[in-house]
Amino acid sequence: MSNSQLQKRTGWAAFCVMAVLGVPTISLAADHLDAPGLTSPGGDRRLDITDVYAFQSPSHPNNAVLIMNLFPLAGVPTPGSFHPDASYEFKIDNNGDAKEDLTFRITFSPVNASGEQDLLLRCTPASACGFNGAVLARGRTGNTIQVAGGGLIRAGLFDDPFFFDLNAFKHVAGRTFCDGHQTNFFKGLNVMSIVLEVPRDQLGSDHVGVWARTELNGEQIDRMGRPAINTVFIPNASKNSFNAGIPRNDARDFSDFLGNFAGVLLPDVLTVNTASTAGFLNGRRLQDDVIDIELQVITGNPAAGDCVANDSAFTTTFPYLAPPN
Amino acid sequence: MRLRIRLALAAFAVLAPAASLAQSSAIRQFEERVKRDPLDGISSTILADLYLRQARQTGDLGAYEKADGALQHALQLQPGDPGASASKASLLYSEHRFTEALDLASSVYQKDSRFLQALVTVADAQMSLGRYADAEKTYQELSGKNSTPPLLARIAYLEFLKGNTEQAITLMLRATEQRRASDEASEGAAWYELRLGDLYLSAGRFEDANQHYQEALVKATGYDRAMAEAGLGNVLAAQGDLASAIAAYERAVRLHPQPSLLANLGDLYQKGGRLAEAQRQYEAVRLLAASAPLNESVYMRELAVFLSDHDMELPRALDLARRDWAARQDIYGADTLAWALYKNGRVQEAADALQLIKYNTQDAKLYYHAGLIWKAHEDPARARDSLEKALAINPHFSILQADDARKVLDEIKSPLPNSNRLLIGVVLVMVLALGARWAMSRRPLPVL
Repeated sequence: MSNSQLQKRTGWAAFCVMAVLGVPTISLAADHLDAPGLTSPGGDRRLDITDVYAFQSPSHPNNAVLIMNLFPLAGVPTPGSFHPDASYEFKIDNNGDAKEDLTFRITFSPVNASGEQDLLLRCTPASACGFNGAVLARGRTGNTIQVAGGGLIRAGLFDDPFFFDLNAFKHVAGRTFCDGHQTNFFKGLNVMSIVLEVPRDQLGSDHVGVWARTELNGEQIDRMGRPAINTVFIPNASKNSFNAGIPRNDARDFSDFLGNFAGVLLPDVLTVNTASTAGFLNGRRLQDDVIDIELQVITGNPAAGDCVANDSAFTTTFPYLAPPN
Repeated sequence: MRLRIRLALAAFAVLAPAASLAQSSAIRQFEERVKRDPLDGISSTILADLYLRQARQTGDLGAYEKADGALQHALQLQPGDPGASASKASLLYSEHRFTEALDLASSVYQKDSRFLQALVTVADAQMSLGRYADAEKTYQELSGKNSTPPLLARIAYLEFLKGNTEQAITLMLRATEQRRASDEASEGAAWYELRLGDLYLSAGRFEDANQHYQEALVKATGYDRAMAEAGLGNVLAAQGDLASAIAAYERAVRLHPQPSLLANLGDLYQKGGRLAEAQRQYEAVRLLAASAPLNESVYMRELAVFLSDHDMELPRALDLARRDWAARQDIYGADTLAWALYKNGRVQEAADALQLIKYNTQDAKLYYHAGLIWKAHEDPARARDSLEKALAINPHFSILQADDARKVLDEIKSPLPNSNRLLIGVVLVMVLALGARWAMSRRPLPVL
């Protein structure tokens, strides 16, 4: 059989079969985890926020810890990384108007031959950050980096701290919560995390609202405040617009979907009093069983839950997350 | 024969190159998860996706069967689950069950428009079914949602089919550039270089093709590596370096003895006069392609073309071409059908089949086939145009057939009736001359 023709044909055939290979993000994204069956926002797991945490540091009570997890199923089957053209942001509202007063922006270089990326942390605007918008930290992924003005940052692969009976939630095989078959779907899985610890006073108030977002080419790809709001309440057809939305419009745009809970759960901002060591609904600590608490809020039944408990070994010191599996 | 079978089986043993380490460990991890919790349908779907990915990257068709098993399990646990259904649609596509793939993927996407994977399968199936206008629309819809290198690459291929090779190259260059700047490790990166190499090769731009195949070789593992070696072999063959081309193809076949690679290696041996070795490769092609039902359905078209090219089992070639056409009505399906019909002496039907080719795809092979069919159809003008076109697109489009195209073209240019007349003329002159000599020799002695 003659060369170019056949080579090409088989090549393209392989490609089409590769429908997904070329599109690894599309393939596995179908199993996106913070919203079951979702396609990763923007079709890119690197931009897909799975969870956001905000809590007072157990070892340095004057510090606040902010964690953004991304890249569901990191390492399956390709290594996790951060998008070199994207910006990863923690938004802080310190006066309760659901509008950010300061932003911690983290950006990454392309992945080098050893699989590492350079990281830059900036804070804006200068007036709120007190650092004149300068670079607050610079270093490599996988390393703990000092932040100017006190604090630490680390980005890299970690154990996925989330615990939830996803199969029961999706009623796979007719399953329901606490039916005797409960399992933590996220046990043994990893995520890409950005862990930022800063002095609490740098946030401008003890009472702040926190959310994380990913942005690519000026477009917001994903955002998240409280756990599972999009997953649980927002119907499929509106999930993408929720991801593209901003908290100050949440009440206007999405209240209908949350009914009686709109007043409590919208805007989708993780509110935290950093002077308190309490957990969810005050901010969110790694060990908090947010699913149980949300189910209790939603059902009004104080015993509600998914019967799945945390099984990760968190630490009381930076970076708090368990090492990758 | 026994030796041949052994050779083919040995080839088979390496048919499935190892998946990458990360891939294997992910597969192991999810196999264990499914085993530990048989009710974990979500992990079962993820496992199926991992198998599909493995099949695509290594060419291991057995992984499709494993994917099918995992998906059956997932869909049993969660009937109609859109994630599992989208993966099932993609599997059906891989098994060349294009209509079923299209139907299932469409229904998934209609139910939930976030399943872009399903929409990608819709587009791919439309392409395979020759529904190019529909595919173009689907691509437009995808572009609005997810303009990524894989999508650009698909649009590039459509442009190539439509005859816009330059535009295809431009798009593919952009896709490759974006891919280089992107993510998710280097897996898949070689694939883009290979497609660029193929596009340049089909345009007869051998230096450019060489550059991208070299690039692919650096990035590739397993299956893609074999394809990169084969691409380089094609470039070398086109440049007239037969020995190096054979060496490259021998490396390719060692990595991945796929039917098309074995066939090309056979052609190279044939061209080099190593006929016994050529026959061995051809025999292996037939054994491999027929060794499993899935192999035959996946390689149906390749086998039909191979048998037609080599004048082997021509009725079977036609049967395969017809079955292939029934499964997918794309440009190459029409071409394969026309070619097999022609080889079976059904010239009128072959000419009719040529009309099924919807675009002026700038692929020399298509024009070569058309040239031979038009010649047999006693339309020398069209035959000449087609063959000239083939050689203009790429003077070295095929290891064996480019030379044949030149030969046939020469015959058409100095048509047979004239040459016959010339021959008769020459013979007449010779007979007359001989007769004269004979007459002379028999000439009576001059009368003194």
